Amino acid sequence: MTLLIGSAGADVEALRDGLDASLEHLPALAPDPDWSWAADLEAWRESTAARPPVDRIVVAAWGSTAAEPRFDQLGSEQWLVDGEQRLAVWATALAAAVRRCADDGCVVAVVDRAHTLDSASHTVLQMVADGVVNLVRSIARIEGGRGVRINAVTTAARIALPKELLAPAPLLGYPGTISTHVVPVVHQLLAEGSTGLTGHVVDVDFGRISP
Amino acid sequence: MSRRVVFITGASGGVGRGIAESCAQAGWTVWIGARRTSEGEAVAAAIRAAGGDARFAHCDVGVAESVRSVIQEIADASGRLDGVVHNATSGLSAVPVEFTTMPVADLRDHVIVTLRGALNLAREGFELVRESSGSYVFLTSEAGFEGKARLAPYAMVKGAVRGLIRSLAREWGPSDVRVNGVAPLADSEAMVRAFDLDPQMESRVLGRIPLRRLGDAAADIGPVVRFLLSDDARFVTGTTIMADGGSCQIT
Repeated sequence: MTLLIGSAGADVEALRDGLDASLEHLPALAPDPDWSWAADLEAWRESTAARPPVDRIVVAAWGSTAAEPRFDQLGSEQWLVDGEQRLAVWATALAAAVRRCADDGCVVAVVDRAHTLDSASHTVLQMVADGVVNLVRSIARIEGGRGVRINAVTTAARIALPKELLAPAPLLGYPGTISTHVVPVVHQLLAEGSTGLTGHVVDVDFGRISP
Repeated sequence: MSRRVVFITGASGGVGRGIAESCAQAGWTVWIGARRTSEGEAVAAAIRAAGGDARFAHCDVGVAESVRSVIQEIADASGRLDGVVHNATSGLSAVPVEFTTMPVADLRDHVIVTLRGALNLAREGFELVRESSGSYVFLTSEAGFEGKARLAPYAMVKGAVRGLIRSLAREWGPSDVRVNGVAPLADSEAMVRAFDLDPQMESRVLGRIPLRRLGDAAADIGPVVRFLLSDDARFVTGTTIMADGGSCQIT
């Protein structure tokens, strides 16, 4: 059985169904510049990590993917929720996941990320995405010694993209869907055939390659 | 042409000081931003003693009011702002952690200084920088490219900075404001502290640098930042230059 640790919402449920996973929700938090919610997040991490080990865990700590105002005009609440809090939720969720993961098990983070060409109006989302994928690289170094692998899959499937893209993706169908294009890649990374892969980021980008 | 004016956060020592000295050597007015008043004042005084134009402004970059006050002071005194360099990082940057059990509050300090600081500098400084068709330079790190086992929160926010650089370059390009990054590997107070806290780190770090040494903040790192701030880089935006002696294998 695969465990999915995710936010509330229909997209996460679609991921759960595609993976045939059990779903454990992340805690809902109120915005606060002083991070008063940090203790709740930490308590959730500890209780989650203490549950029986699981071999395969997928994390989808998804937040808003709506277009943002220009960064210098961003409102405080949007910054706190979509920026600071989202980073903290991702970091905590991944920490809980790798602690819960059995030796020689596998964790996959599924991350919202726009292609660089489409990243204007998604600056906070991109900031979080690049932070998360780099955290995956760090965790791969931390957990590799007990055989635990961790990789990331990025997708623009949930992101509000411009109606007219600056350049089309090489492959038809961009940005794709969670069920059809993301789930199979996650399955592959969780499978026995991927036991030599850790710390990798697979961009399901239809060839619209980001740096 | 009026003298170029730049504001550098975290410039009371280390890499920030090196950047400030390098910019001052070009004849630019340098504003030294830092929380440590006496050290920041000393850097400004040293630059002035060497013939440069430097001023200190107390700045806690994670606090919007503090950044607003400094930007206003720069506008009043210098009348323009051509470049902002966000170099300040959390005091926890060099402290090794067990990431999976660390207090969430420790992550907050990294996020506030590096990322909320970037937001504050964008909100408060953008219009003044836009008037000069100027640029921002954000300091990241090789840790932001490849992750670090014992410095995972630091690596996370430095990775996040890379996302900011690429996206802001697209958002601000139409306003003729450029955004770039520099990933230095320098002989700094932070690096010395990191070596003290992790005795094996020095040999690990030096062993992977083809040039076999850490960079000098003023001679090796500062000029790279100065280039990105200058008109010589007027067609460069959205990129990160590795000033690391070849250490990082991902660019």
